[in-house]
Amino acid sequence: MGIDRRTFMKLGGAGIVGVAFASLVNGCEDYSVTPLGASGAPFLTPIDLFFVQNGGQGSITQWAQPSLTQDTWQLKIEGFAAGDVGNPMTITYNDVVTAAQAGNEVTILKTIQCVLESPLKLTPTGFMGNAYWTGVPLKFFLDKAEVNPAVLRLLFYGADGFTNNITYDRIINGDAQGLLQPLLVYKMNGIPLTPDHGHPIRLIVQEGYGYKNVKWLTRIQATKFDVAFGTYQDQGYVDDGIISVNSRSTVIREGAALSAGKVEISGYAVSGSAPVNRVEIRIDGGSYQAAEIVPLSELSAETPLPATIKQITDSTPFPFRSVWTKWRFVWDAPAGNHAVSVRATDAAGNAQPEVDGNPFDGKTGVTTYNVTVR
Amino acid sequence: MQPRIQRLPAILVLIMAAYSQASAGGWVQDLGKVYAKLSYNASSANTVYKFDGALKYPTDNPPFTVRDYPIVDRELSLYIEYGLTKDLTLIGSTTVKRVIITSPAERKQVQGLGDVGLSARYLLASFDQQVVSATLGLAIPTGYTRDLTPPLGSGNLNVELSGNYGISFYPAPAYATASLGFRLRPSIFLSKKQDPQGTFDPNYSNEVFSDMEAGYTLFDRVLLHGVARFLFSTRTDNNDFDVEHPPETQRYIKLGGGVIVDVYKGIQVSVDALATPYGVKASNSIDLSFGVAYAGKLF
Repeated sequence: MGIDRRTFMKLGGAGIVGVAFASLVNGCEDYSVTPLGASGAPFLTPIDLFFVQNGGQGSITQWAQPSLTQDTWQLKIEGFAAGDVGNPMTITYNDVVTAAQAGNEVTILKTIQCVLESPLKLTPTGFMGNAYWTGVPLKFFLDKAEVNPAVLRLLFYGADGFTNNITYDRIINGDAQGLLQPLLVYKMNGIPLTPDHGHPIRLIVQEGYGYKNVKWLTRIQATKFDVAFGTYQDQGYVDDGIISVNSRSTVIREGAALSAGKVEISGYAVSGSAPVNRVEIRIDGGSYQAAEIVPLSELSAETPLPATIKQITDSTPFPFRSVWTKWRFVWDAPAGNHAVSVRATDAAGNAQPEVDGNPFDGKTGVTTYNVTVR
Repeated sequence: MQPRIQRLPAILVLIMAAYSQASAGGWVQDLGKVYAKLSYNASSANTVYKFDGALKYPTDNPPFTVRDYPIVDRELSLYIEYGLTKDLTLIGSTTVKRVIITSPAERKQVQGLGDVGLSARYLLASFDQQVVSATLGLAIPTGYTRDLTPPLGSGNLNVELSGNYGISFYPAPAYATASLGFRLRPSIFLSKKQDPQGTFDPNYSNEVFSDMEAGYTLFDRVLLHGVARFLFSTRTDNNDFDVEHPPETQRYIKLGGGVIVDVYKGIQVSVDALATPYGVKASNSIDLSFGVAYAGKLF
């Protein structure tokens, strides 16, 4: 039953051959991505092309999408401790509608972007979409609930168990910072929210990544504790959740094959801190060249926008903060393999870093697509 | 001490043909004998098991759906056993794979060489019509890009040890075999990352696995067999199934069977099918395998 020396040598030889074989085939693979179905990325994302990402689905045990109706939906506004809210209250869908009809309805343009970016695109623009959202400012009801001015945080609870927060200062001083008030939203692109997007009421926070915009909102707690709070914060994601400046092409993708000659590359860039004011393209590690920002007049000619959108009624200069900004760049592409990089900078001077290896900080490094031109 | 076993060459040859995995049954090859199988394996899943065992469509984005198998895995597999001594069998395997994930917006496909398997099975004991053996094996990534969506494999070195048992029911033309093993999955990554700065550094859980099989031979040429496979990660978590990456933890049970026909002088053809009636963070796949095998002396 023993192994003699000759046999041992055979065994050793087999192992060496195996490892050498494995080394020889290092990187032996072929990878391709084929766009399917609907393509393109209009300035307003149709609801049926809007990504659906449920933040609690991967982290809340027994997660299920809530089935709430306008008749049964209620939102509790209460204090975490006695005295945090002077007039705790429960509001209904009718209360929101009544407030809207009394002249409090607001519509804002906002891009929703997940802080996570899926490498598998479920929609042409991945976990990113742009819509106009209609609702009533949360402040309207917070004032009725008599939130204590000493409160520091508002904690939000979705019916699915998903949680998040904003600072109360965001409500009190947001206007002075050029921010639009967070909304209790009931319409997306002019129609009632669909179940996937938080029917009947969700929160929309202008500058925030998706996880700040709690769907199926049913409870708000005001607290004097100044601590990070939320399902994503528990996983390590940055608490303020402000969309960091980022950009992408919606025309080319990693591994794309292009025809030699003039190619128009276009895409979107967005920042929650300030409007995007510069997008640049770099080919094969050369110097950055400015891309053109597409004007609002051209975008609205392609996709009519309601006149009730607050950024328009306020005559806010375009590009808008937290609304994706379309850019385009004409590249005279020579044959060969090339790396096309996109970098955006916002009006506050925030630029995409060359590399960002931290998936939790919300930042996105310069986006580079390796393409083949034939 | 294998007299009765040696009187059942047809059954034994057909048993060997039933396996395409390194975790084969209890028997070892006779000295100098080889068993080689080339198989085409097709695994397709419309749904996946979530972390709570419920089924979901993995790439749906309502109202857009993918119902024509969003997860597809095709492979050409070569599996070889060689009887180095009368007690020790060397086993090697490799696959050329194509993995496809389809979402409503795009289809991502990668093809290339999958893991290389190297293992050895040692006969520990044989008595009457029973054998007990142990298998020690490695699954070695071949340098594919492990953070692609989808990748060709998990990209880390896997080490597995299993105990195997086999029994022949001679004179009835039937057998049963079972393996129980432990797979160590250390974070020793031998494949590259597309984004070297990226933080995709999964912590794959170790696994306990078991294969059980029973077969019956008709006319010394046709083997019908049933198969049950279990796999349980030793760690659990509540993260959901992630269609983009291999799961760090999973559980599944696969049940099925197949037919092997001894065609001509040690050449067999086989067809196998497995379903996945239970899973946690696993594809609810149907696995089909079509194989051609040879058993006999190498030269």
